[in-house]
Amino acid sequence: MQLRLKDNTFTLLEQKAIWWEEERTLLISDLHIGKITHFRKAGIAVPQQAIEENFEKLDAMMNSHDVKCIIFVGDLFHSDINSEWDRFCAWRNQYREVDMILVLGNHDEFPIEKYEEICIAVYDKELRVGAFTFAHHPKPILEQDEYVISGHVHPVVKLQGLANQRLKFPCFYFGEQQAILPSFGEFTGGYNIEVLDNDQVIAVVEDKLIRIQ
Amino acid sequence: MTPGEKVIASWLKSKSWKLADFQQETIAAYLEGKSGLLNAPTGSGKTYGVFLPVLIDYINHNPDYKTKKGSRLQVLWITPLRALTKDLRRNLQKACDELEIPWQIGIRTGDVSAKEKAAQKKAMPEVLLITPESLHLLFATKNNTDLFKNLKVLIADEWHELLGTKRGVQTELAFCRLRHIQPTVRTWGMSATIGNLAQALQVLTGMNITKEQTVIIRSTIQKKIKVESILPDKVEKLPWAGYLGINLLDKVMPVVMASTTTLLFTNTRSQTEIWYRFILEKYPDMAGIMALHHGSLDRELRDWVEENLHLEKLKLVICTSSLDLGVDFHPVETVIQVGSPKSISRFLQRAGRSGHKPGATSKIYFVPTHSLELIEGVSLREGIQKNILEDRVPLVQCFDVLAQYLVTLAVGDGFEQEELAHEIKSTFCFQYMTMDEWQWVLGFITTGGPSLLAYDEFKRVEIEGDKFTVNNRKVAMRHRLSIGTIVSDAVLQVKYMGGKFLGTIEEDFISWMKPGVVFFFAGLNLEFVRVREMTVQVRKSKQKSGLIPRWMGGRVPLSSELSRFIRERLNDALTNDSPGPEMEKLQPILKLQSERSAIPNENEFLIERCHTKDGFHLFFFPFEGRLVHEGMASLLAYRISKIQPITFSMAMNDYGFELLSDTEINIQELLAAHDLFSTIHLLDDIQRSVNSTEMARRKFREISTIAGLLFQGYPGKFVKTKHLQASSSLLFDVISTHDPKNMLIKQAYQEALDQQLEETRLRKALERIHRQRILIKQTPSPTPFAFPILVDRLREQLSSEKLEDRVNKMIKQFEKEDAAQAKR
Repeated sequence: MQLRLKDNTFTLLEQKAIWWEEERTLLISDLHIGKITHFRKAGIAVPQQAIEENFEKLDAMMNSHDVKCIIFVGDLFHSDINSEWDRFCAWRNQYREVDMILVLGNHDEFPIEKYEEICIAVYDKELRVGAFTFAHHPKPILEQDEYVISGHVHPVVKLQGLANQRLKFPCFYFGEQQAILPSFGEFTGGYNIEVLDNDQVIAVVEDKLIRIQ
Repeated sequence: MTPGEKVIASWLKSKSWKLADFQQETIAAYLEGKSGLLNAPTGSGKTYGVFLPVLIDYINHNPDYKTKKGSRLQVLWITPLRALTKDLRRNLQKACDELEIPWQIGIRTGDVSAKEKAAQKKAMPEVLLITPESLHLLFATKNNTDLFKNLKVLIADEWHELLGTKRGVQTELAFCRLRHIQPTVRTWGMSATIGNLAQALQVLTGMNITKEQTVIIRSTIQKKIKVESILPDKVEKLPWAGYLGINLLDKVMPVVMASTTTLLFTNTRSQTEIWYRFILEKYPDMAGIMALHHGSLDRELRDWVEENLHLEKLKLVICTSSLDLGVDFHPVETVIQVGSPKSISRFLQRAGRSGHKPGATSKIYFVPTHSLELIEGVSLREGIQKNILEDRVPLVQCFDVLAQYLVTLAVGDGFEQEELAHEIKSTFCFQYMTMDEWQWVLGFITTGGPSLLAYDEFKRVEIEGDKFTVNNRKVAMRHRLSIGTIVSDAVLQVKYMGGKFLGTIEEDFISWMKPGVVFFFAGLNLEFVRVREMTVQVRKSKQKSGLIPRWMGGRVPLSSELSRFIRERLNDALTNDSPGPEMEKLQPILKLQSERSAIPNENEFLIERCHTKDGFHLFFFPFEGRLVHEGMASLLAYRISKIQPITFSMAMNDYGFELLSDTEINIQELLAAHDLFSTIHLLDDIQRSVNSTEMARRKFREISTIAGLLFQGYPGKFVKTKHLQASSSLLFDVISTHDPKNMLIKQAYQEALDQQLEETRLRKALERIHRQRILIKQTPSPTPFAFPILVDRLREQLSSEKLEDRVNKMIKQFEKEDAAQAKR
């Protein structure tokens, strides 16, 4: 599914990421690498297999696109450093020719040098590329002509039909001046979002994308 | 007569007390070294019935009993309610003091200070009153084994309350541990009358005891019970699916006025608040002599109510099951039950709260909350007359409780696996546990399930040589804080601005409240000021109207015993000329039902079809109780959806269930061509229905919390439960996808099947329907039977349409509505 924003083309991917054609860039939010190991370290037995699922999804996108750059809009790594970091570094090494950029999120807590060691450029609050601003949190106050692409809220859309039918899906959200990405990570939940009339919402239904409005 | 018996006999004589037959029997059995279960009504002296033989035995073995000190822990007394311990201690201590036995009676529950607990560990009292949770906490301390070496008897009070719950399983595990530490220990339980006393005894005493070593002792004291329904003048006055019954208030109050003290039981905490408020408005004289009692109120407030009940200072107490148990309030003369108690045993227990004077008749009034409940009034009376009581079915294979228990032991003195496996298999709950299952649980707590990756950092229980132990202090602390099996919704404390604590309220209710909103709580009008961390700050308000808080909590389903009576009554209504006052009142409703549709007799099964703006409704009336209906609804929905792609939303109550769809179903044709009520492939079909997954997902919340997959948070620290809820569902998804053999997931499905769907009962109901003639009625509008189901908003879904198609259909419907609105 393709969307045009400010003369740029964005392809939404069923892996819950966006492919920015002009810049050959993948946009990914809320990966939460390390969360499963963080839980396991605390004695909570989340299955390890779920860790690999994230990397399989990442590899699938890398293989099907000619990627020049990846922008992670926050919450790349969940909390303290742990052994999942090594798994992530190994993955990073597979794609040395690709630029990777992280805009810090509230869960990205450990020293920035760690990212720099593996050639990931770090931005504190936001990053501007062309007509777009990338930030972890959706911005409450927007400048004129600004378009912000963010994550953090793990947006989910609720559908209601006749005969009391109800369904819930993770979704992409595109407002007048602001877009929000669904959370990419396997072991992350979701929260409902409020939608205005002219907004666009695209749900991720199993492995398909469906425009809701 | 033994020396002990002589001492007790002269003490009894000095008080001019006489032992009842059951007390004498208990003494004899105890002195023979037997274990057993004592079945006697509250207020008949069962506490001394069990305690006196313990004292006799002690005196017999200790001629110097008056001077002997430091006997260490002799009696471990488990009680389901903290609130029961204070009265119990007073009674037991009194007996010891008068008999000049220098015993200390100690309490160890969540209410006891850390200082007192530490003192207890240094010098244990001879008798310890304790809850199952606190006993497990004791197992999580170092060198706990030594504390129990002198134990003579394990006692479980109100055993019927623990049986059939995970706290009961905790008790089983604890008792089998203590029997292992002190093999000569006896086990005694006290239970109200339930259908399966023999089984209750076996669960209590474990699998390693012979029949000859145990005994059931029943008191012959029979209470006379009178049941009367409070009837509305005209049946139309009653809302069809109202949950109040409050419009019968003017008929209820004369009953209250005529007795010294009345307990009015409602089924929910919200209802107690509603009744309190209405009575205060219409009968302002009741202010000061009426009180409110429910589980979310401050303990101090509840203590005050109980105290004043004893002192005969209260005329009316409006309460929930919070007053089902425990000490007797002698002034209580009358009991009123508002709404269906759902089971004959519960009704009987509540009735037993009145009429404590010897030979007095217990009187209980039944107030229906909607017209069809009138049938239940008759049925309850008949059930009590015929003395038909429900079983309390014990739980089996609770691996969540086992996992928690193993970590508890590892935090405490540690364990060796082979020896412990043997011990645990001696409980009723785990008697059929296989070695594979045992190894899985051990794996779950040591490696966190199958460990595939080299860099794993899972840390919980470690193995040192042969010993399973917890070394990590953080893990140990978190575990101690999570011991228990009661998983509650997140609650917020309600406090005045000045800091006085009033009680607790659920987060859901408060989440959408704005400052200035008035709500009714603890019988007070309170203005919501703000939420600070886990506290709702309020001030008193003069505003008369306000919101009533709702507390979630499962709706109890109708027991199968009671449902059978209801079916019989309906059948009876067709033929019997004088069916009793309740059924006569119900005539207009029954007439309307037979005009619009039909009243099924015992050979008929009624299905109604109806079309409204919501869609196409199918109503089925098995009269089997909510849970069976839930199972049957999803079974039927699944079977129909296999024949044609369709989405149903389902609703049910205790009398029937509804399948609602957005396209019409030709049920005649379907029933002619397919055996929708077949019991063949029943289990497979249920398990494949979407609903079993949804039910299992809900069950998993409790299981994952007990097993330690979810941490409920440190006391006082703000941890949002919405987060916890989402996480339990997320854990369910992630584990189901990546570790399908996980036993906790399996347990969730099994619990859904046993408890949620009541598979055995469902099978019996289907067999019955198979023998019945199916009656299909097309109705122009919903009938009296159908209406209460129709208005129920708690719904489930089942679909065989492709998810993608459903989303597209919903979007189209949405657009159509939009267009229609634009036109207007």
